[in-house]
Amino acid sequence: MPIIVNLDVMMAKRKISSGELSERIEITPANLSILKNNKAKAIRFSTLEAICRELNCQPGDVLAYEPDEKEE
Amino acid sequence: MNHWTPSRSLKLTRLLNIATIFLGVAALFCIPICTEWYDAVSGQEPIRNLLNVIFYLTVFLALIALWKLNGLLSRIIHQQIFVSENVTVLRIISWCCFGISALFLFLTFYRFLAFIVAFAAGFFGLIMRVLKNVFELAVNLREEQDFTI
Repeated sequence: MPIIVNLDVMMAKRKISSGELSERIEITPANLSILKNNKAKAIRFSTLEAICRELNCQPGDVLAYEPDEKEE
Repeated sequence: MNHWTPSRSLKLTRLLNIATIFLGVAALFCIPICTEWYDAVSGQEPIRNLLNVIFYLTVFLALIALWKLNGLLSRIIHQQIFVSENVTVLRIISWCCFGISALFLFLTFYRFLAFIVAFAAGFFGLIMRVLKNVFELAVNLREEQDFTI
């Protein structure tokens, strides 16, 4: 999928662990892992809102668009 | 009082399916006797060898379909409904039906009544195909639901 979740980078910048973030945004560590490993197929606005609130960032800081090589 | 619960209907279906598998295995031993009897009473040109081949292949395909159906029912009982394994099973069952349909379509050249079985098997195969597509769509929707965070 050409949408990349850069959650790792933002978490490292904010020095926050996976366990702490999952607790703060009220999702399971397993679901946070799916999100971090780019396995997710969709993200709810409520989850994105919670991530942006807790990491003090914009949606564009955690999501990026990288076109597939085939499409180019 | 509602005694006809989904779990009971599933168990009954599985029981009947297992009984049909045993019947299918038993049929393997009876085919030569049945075809010999049919040739004797039909009054038409004898096609015993052809009937033997077609019936053995039909029972073989039917047993594959029934065995796969048994697995599907088992998974449904264990609440594994919209999984990719079930899609594969439905695809195999539909191909088995199409195979039986083709065999009986060939037999239609010798005995016209075989067309009824060919039509029924082909129709059932198509229904299985539609069901397979529905399951495939449901599996995709479930995956999307599971991977929406």
